[in-house]
Amino acid sequence: MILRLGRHSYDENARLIMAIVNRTPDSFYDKGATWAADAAKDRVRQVVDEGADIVDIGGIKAAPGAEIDAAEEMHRVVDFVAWVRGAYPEVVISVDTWRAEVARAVCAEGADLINDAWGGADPELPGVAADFDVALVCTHTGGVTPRTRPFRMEYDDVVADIIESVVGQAHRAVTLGVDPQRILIDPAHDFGKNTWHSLAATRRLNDLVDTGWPVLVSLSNKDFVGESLDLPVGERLTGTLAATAISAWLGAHVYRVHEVVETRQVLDMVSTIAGIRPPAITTRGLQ
Amino acid sequence: MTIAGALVIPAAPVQLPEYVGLADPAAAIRERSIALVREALGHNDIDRVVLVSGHEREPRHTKGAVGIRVARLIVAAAGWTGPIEEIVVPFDARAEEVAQAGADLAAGGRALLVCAADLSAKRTEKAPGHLDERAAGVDAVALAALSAGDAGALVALDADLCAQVWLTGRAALQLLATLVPEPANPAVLWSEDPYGVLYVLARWHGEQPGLATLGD
Repeated sequence: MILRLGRHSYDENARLIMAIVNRTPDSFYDKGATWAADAAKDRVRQVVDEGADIVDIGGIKAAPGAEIDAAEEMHRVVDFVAWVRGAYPEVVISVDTWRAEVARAVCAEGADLINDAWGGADPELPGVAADFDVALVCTHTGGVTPRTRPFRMEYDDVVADIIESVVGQAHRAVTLGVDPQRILIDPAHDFGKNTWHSLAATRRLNDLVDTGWPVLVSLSNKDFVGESLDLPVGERLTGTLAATAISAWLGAHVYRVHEVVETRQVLDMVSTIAGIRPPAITTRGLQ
Repeated sequence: MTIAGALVIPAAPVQLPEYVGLADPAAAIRERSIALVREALGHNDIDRVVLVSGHEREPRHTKGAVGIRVARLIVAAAGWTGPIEEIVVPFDARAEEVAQAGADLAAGGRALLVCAADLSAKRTEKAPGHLDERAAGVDAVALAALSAGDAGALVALDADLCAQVWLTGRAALQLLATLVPEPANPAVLWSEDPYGVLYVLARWHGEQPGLATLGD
């Protein structure tokens, strides 16, 4: 497996960190901390310094709320993408959007990856990825409308449903001209899923890895962690890191996160245990 | 067939054992329904229980309608071991389809109707469907209809508006209204929206004479 993002190529042992950068006033975790442009720029500087491989810029929170039209979404993200491109030529720029017109605008400013977090809601989106030769994340939402919460969703086999959906989207994207080495799949924890579903997706992540497509997981501080441990947003880092470690062990490649440093330590430790990364330094008992 | 009485109970899957974790947040809701069904069964010569609920028209799974699964659980916990008939209507069923579903009921006997149906799921910002200011109004109309035994008002609920506020019990309640057009002693016994979804416990007596003892 080779994954190509921007000018970079990665093999199957790569464990990449995608840092969340919200250009929103109301996202569930940071609650507008990076709404102001300067704060968002500081966030990018921080996560790049901390070792993030990818920044994922989003202009609309996932939860329901005030409607944000495409013009407003573009106002929030397009110029910002241009700034990141200029300031950090090496970093992979992802934009979290389901709208093709927004994707087209950010790709024109140098975005490398379209994170289609609502699973193909806009069928034109893969065509944009093809036109700009950028990467695409194919996600599973169970067919829900963007920005809606799951309500009594049921599946006979949620993992089978995930695989059918994301692999189907990946194949369609290839048909439309997207480079197969620029496609990732994401089970989308919490999206169209109750906690039991997200736990099953985590437990059986190897089934997704076995499809051969690079797997992205977005676990950070989500409700399935909160419900598993009965902890509110703000107290879910340890649970998130536990899920991260399991996902890394099962072979996920990209981790969309709020906390870069802690995630990097977990990923490095798992890779070291797995034998695909040497320990940083070894002198104990060897003197 | 004589309908001795009809009950409305919450349909939420949070009541099902397969979805319960260490805590059982819907235990009290479930227990209320069980008590109501047990009481209704104890006062009548019921020979059949008819479960009614809605379901997706094209479900992504084969588990069956969640409301029917909840109702089955409640009725069993209430001690019923006799015959059970199930009627499932699509959530988006229109009047004709609802009426047809009722016409399929087996003839003969005295039945207790148990309708698993919830009102809107957009009552608060944290509700599954987020806040829709119209939800409270539609819920109030449905609650008033259940409280007054106004079958016509239930049948008159606007299907499109109900769909927009995620009032998933609309078609099932309209089926109940079709089957019990002139109820006696209607009552809403409890209603709450702990998760932004309005749950209801209601009881209608059938129109046949001699049933005044049902749960009074």
